[in-house]
Amino acid sequence: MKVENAKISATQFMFSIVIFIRSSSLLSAFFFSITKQDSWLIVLFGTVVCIPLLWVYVALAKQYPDKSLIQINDEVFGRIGGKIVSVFYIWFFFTLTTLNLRDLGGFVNKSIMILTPNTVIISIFIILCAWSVYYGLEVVTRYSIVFTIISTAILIVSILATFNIMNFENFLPIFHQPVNSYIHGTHIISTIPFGELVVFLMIAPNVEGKEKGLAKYFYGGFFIAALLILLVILRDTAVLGNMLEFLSLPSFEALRLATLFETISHIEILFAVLLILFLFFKISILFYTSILAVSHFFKIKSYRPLILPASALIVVYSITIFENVIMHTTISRGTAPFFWAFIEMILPFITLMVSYIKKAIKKAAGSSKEASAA
Amino acid sequence: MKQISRLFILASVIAAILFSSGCYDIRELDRVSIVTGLAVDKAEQPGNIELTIQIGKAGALGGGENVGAPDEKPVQLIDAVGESVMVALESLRNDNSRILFFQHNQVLIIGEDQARTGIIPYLDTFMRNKESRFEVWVLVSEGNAKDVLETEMELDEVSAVGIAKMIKNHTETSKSLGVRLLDFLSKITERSASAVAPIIKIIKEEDIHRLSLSGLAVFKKGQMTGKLTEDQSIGFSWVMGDLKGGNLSVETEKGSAQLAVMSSSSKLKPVFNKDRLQKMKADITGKFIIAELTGFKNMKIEQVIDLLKKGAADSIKKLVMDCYKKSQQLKSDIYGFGSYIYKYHAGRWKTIEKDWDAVFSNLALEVDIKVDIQDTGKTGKSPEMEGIR
Repeated sequence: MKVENAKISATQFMFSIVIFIRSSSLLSAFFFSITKQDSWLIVLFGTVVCIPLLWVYVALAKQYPDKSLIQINDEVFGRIGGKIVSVFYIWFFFTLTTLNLRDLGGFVNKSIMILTPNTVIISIFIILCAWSVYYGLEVVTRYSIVFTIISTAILIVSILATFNIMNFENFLPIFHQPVNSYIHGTHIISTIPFGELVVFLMIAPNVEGKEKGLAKYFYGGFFIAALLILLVILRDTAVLGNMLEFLSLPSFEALRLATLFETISHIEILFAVLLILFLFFKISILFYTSILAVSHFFKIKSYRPLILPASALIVVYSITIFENVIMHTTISRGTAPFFWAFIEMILPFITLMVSYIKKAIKKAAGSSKEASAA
Repeated sequence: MKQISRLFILASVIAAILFSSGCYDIRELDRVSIVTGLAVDKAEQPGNIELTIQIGKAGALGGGENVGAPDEKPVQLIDAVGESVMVALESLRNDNSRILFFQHNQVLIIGEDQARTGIIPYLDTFMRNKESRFEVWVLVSEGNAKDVLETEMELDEVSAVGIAKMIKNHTETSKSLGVRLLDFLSKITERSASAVAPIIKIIKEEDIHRLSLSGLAVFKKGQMTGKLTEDQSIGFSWVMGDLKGGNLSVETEKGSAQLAVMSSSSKLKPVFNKDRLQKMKADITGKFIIAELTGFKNMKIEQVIDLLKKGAADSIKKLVMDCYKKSQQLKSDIYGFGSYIYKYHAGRWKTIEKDWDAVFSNLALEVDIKVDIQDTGKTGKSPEMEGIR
């Protein structure tokens, strides 16, 4: 039984991954305060750490080419075990959607529309996302290439515009933070933006030509995104120097300082546009995967009836999830990476191992049967 | 029929969304007061500050002769006393019929008395507030900061805007240097913990008062420790390598000259003797063109240039050392030597971090100056030199 029949091309899949990770550039403040001027190293470490993780995802997708993550769980852990594991994932997907929505509300509230209540921003945004999700996966991912081009163009413009105020001494000294902070930072970046790619296991069965090139596109998207994030971090560090750790929106402030000429200055609105674009994409993908997961969980034929209740749930959840920004930052820095690591890293790994073992047993059983038959 | 009514409902909903949204937190010009300048002074009550806000009046500004009453001042000053910036702002809000709008704020002027007491707790508000910007110019006023905002300028009716323009011009001629709030905070929170800000003062000539930028205020850990004169601040710029213009006067025994600075650069290097910091070395390069020559009778231009190069190096050295001695006296590492050592020699920095103040005030500075005179201007000779009789 399949809920979603839409097919997306492998290129769209790749650029979806790019945008998905790139949208987390808002979160750089989480590790800037920990690793300071060495944050760009953290991106490199995180990338290296996540390569085996991606391998697990790709292996899972290859093992069960026609099944989404929830269906894989049913297959691997049996009916009851599979449901228990799936509950974790569904909770995770919903929480991610909520967190990103909350981030968006917070950002718009902090930078552009200061007096508009958060609830209004969040509700309007979820309506937009629900609309795009209603029309399905193709609609959500179709824009990925355009968004990537726009965002990369803006990134290049912003680097050029801030080039005259960059100070490359800001990167020094390298490797002089306590070792702990490198581990902490790497943990954050590998779980918060990078490991979230686990949601793409819900979409993977719908990729055209996945038999041949899924791994290539999966890795490709990941590396492009990591490179873009690296550029963002480098730009912010070079522009802001030791003020990095004080600011809650480093990229926003960096662009605010850009002055190409008297007339082309204060290009921070570009960042705002970009961020809203990104988060629209990311929330749509997350929203889509959340309700797709639920529909696979209950074996419902179409996910569409779930859109309305799920939107309502997400709005309420995102208003109540944190009492304030401080709680958000503390949790994202401290507790969340451990929860996420369990869901993003350990669970898929266990799933893959169990599926290998099952296969091996089956094979052994099969061969022993053959042997006994002979 | 049903479809048409549905369409109608849809259209009206869309129209409602389009036309009535976005005005949620609208602020019309007649509802806001545009803040152009801020001044922080020490209040008479101990522990309190006096916050003065300069508000530009849109009606009295620029809009031709018929707009506004003829005698109406283009700016309004309001002030309040409070134990913190926010407390003072609150009481200002209560007394004002309009919303204060901070996005166009140009300058933040700190009175000398308050600067000497300490400014860090008051800067926090400007950093945290959603509306304020980091590019605000930070200045220190000789005397009351409020008076500076009160002084009218001849050409720029809003003095805060005039001061912002002045800073830009002066930075080009290197007489003073502009310091933005972000740079200031960045310097204060660095390893060296010292920063500078330009000094603004009121010059009283008969019945005319005008504003003038002169010299730099030196801050250490958020407290003003002393002042640099104009010449010393040029010496400071030479070491930092960010002198972009202005003139250098050179005196030699044969004649004198004014050299226009084209560009300058500087390279710092700490010299270590077996892990002990021995001295700092600064390699300064200056590129000039000749702007004015007097004297040098019966000399060839090549000889003059040789003389000038030597003379220029000497005068730069004097400016640099003068400033350096002053900063050592104030125990304020305004050059950021400490940060520099931390950046390039982080291991060694740990050993001197604790008593950096003592180390800095006894640290020798070796200056190596390279002068390059690139052009002689439109003429290669001068009326007093050989060749013209």
